[in-house]
Amino acid sequence: MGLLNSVGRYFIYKEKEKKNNFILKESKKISCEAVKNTASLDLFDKAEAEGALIGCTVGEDILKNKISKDMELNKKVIKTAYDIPKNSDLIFREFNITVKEKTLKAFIVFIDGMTNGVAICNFVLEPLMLLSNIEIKDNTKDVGQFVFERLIPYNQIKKIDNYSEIINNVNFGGCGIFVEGLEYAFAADTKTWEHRGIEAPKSETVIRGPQEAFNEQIRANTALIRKILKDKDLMIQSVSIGERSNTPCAVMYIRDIANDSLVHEVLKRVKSIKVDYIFDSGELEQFLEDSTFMAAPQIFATERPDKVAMMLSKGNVAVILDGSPQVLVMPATVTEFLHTTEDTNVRFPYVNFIRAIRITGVAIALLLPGIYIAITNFHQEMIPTNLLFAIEASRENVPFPSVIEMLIMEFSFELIREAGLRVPGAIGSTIGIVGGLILGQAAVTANVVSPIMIIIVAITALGSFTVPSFSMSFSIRIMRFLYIILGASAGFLGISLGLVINSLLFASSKSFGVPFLTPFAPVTKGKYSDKLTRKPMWKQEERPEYLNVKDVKSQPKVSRGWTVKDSDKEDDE
Amino acid sequence: MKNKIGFGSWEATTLLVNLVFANIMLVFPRDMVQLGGSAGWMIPVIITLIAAGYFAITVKLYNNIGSMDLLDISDCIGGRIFKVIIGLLITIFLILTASIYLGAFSQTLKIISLDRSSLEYVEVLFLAGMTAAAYFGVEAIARISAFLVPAVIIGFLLITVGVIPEFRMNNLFPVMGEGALEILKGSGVRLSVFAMFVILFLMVPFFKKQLLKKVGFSYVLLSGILLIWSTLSFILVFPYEMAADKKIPVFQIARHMDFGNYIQRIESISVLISSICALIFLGAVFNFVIYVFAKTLDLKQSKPLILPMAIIVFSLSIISKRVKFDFLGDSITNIIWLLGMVLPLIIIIIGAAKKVGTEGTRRHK
Repeated sequence: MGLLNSVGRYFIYKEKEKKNNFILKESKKISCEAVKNTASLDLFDKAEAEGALIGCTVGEDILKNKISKDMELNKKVIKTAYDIPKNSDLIFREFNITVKEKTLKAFIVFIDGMTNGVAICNFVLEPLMLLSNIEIKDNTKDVGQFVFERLIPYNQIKKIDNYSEIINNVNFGGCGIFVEGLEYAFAADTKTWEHRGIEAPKSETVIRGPQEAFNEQIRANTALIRKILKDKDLMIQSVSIGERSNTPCAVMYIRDIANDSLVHEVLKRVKSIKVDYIFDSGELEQFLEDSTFMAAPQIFATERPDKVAMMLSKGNVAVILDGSPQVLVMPATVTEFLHTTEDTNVRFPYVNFIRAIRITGVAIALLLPGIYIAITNFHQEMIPTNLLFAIEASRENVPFPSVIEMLIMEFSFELIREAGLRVPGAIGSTIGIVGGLILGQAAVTANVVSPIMIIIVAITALGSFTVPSFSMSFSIRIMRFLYIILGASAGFLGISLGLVINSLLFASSKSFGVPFLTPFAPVTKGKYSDKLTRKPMWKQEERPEYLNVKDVKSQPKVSRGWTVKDSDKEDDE
Repeated sequence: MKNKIGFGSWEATTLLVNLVFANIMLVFPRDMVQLGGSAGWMIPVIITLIAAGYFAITVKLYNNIGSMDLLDISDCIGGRIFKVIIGLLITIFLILTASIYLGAFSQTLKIISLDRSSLEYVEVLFLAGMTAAAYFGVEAIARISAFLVPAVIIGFLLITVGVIPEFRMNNLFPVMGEGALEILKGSGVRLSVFAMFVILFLMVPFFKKQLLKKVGFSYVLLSGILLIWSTLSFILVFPYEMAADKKIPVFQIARHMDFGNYIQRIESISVLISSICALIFLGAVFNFVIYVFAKTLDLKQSKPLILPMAIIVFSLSIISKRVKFDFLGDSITNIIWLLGMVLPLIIIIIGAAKKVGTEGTRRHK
């Protein structure tokens, strides 16, 4: 039968079944004027107006109203605001409580998955529904006070008198508790959700130093910093960003070190951001930075709590955004982007050696391809004769001019880097091998590029991996292409032109009022010693003067007490 | 750190030293040999001493003036008309300086490195740097001078140290070269190397007045050391009969560097050094062209002036090349260049005599 049908299909025409093709229609314009133009809760009372709420969201103006004593009205507001029961993860539970032999209606509202259900049952519902029936010797006449003091044995609970705030709390994992006859509601902090634990840093690894990185939990992140600093003057000011998301954000500083105007400016900028949702500190960085078009970053982003703690102790200000494992620290100058946390932890001779290597690496990453192009095109006399012959021989069969060859190679390298990041981990290493093979052996054999070019690109790539900051590395990658073009256009004159314009750009830009090239341009004269090189730990007596900190001294002149003769100490005593 | 526009003494000093260093990169050591023969190295010694004396006098006179620049002093002395005359005179002086140096640097670069490119192309590249510097402002160019100029000078010193094996002490004889009179005449003519004193006195409001003494003397001292060392190196490498014909002296010195088989010809490094030096020089002078012109005419916006002024400088530079006249090496033009020292001295003397400092302060309040 099946065979007949199959054969028959070739002889007998049969109209195809029409599929239901979805068409994305234009959104219907729903008139929400009635909702928008009112800030009064009367809207919920008028039966005829209820129709007006269909399809419309409840505006912030209405929600800013005080919570009503009328239980039915409260229920209507909350149900309409969350579109309950359509909104499936919203739990709305009604129950009765007994207070002073009087039965009152009550309800709780919370979001399933963001809250600790056991805690809500044990410390909110159970006491209210069961314990309220037990006679408690208490003379408190006020119902709300009695509920607060006697019936809800929960550690973090607060009274809130408007709908907006209670909804914000519920959105962030809280449990809203409404009791009949009260002009306020209770918000219990019951938040708990699945999250990543504290893991080792992924992009800022060190051999010597703590192996903890931030995660997506704001409180865990603030605790990590507080754990390191253990300073009572460490301030954590909370701000929420996002008109809709109300994403929690913490501005951190040490109040007797950080400059007041800097703290004020950071808070001002953070508070002034008007956006519906904010998802990551990377987004926040773009809202806060001084110059959008400058290639170099102006705010330091790190996943290391010890780095943030170190910078806070110098007088910087940090901003932590909930949901982001990267913390922003400002102001940031060029030195911050060239230092790693390990620089503080390794001994003085090692750090200066490693910094020299790193700075050379940065210079190579930025300039080597451009200088190679400049030398091979304009200043061939600089190349020793034997090497010149070798280069010429290797380039003999390559059909492209060296600048095109370089651009092809650099583009391919960027392609491999980007592809290696995007593909799943297991295939990532394959991409590296395939890329290496294509770029190396195959490209040379096919006479697309010369072997010397492979060496140049490989050394440049190694140089770029020495840049400690992810953002700075981006900046160098972009600028490298400009130097290649400038080197190809005018040799060393082009490179000089690039260096001067680049320096001018950096010299004229500021990060929160601090010139980006500080402490080199302008040259600062303080005793802050962690600049391009670093002095021994016991010589680091001052904080960076360019931050205009309240307390410049970070340690006394003699920080190693044991170096003072015991007899001198006795004399002092 | 103060947020108002300004810079420190190091930035100001390096910026000014670079204005002298540009001369070294172009013609100065050769001119010394032409003027003084084997005793050419004595001329920068005398010039430095004269410049130090000149500055000692002016800085003494400045005590009665306060933190005013030449234009403010002119305003106080003779009112707005006098200020406009002096302002325009300085503007013309700086425009001519910028255009002549633009042409000189472009031609030098074309000869030593970009021989297949047209002169206009090289000039446009310098012009781009100069214009960019003007857009970023005096503060930015002073700040980059703080670290680029020392790097450039270190590069130059390495070149001269690299040719120490080529030094021939015999080249210094006869000790008095062309004779004492020629040395003195040469010193008078080439005092113009310090013509950029005019910029120092325009820069005063950008740094604290107390720093003027430090900046000025550091400028004279460091410039003097560089002038003496460059001339001495040049004379020690080339016998003066040969040296007098050598164009682009630093490049010629660099050609003599030879370290084994590997570092054979490093003279292209002088291209890098002279390019950075030139860009900072042109950027600084051009910035002051815009600054002085805008301040002279009390213009609120100076940025719209940049492009028209750049076109004027570029056109003058092209014309100056067509004239086929050695503006930098000629004695008469060098004497005219002394205007950069004479004009500030006259204004400061009158200003000090009239004690414009207190009056000026009142006006500005």
